[in-house]
Amino acid sequence: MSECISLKIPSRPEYVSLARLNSSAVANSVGFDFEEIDDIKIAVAEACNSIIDGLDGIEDSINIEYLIEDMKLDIIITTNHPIDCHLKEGDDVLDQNLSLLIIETIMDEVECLKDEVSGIKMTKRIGVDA
Amino acid sequence: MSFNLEKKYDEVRKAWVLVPKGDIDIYSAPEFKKELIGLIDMENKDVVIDGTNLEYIDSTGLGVLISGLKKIREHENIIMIENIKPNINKLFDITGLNKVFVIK
Repeated sequence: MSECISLKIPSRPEYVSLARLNSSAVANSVGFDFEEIDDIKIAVAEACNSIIDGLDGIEDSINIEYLIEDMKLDIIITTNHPIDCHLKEGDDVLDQNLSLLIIETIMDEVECLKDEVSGIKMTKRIGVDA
Repeated sequence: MSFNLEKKYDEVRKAWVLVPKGDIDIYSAPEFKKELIGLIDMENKDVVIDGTNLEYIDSTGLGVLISGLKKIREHENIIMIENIKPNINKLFDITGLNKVFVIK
């Protein structure tokens, strides 16, 4: 049985650090090690960055849901406005979508959500190298 | 974590040394970009980023470094990145930026 923790923040840069710190506390409570917690913090911040960038100045909120299950954490980060979500863009390292590249590398599973809400769903498992 | 930036000119290396302290994230990156690009535009010198006091950088901060790199290449100068912590070095590895910046 999973447990859910939710956080809702305004889609403004000054609140991303709040999401990052909150993620650290949640990941710690689940039992991830130091490096895994760091990965989760980075991934959540990058997902928020990606949404804020995608909103391009539109004021909205970002919903962050942490679904805690045995040995894994699903994190669903969404907004109500449609945003673009490309996991990879081009081959030139200087023109890549860095947010999504980082998330894809450090999390175990990543999925772009485009139906009722826009955003990113990502999963981290305890003791699994991404 | 707050952000501030110390700037000093190294006469021996003939380069500007920037020492960011704290986090370069989506909130502080515009300030960092203004300082970095402003320096590159005004001074035809190499730039050293001393990461001794840098705790965290996100994709937005990395994007600022990429903008700076593109700009400084127009003057045929380089950006060197030194003394970064392992958690930050990991992001340079993941993104492949360890191959385009001079990292010591």
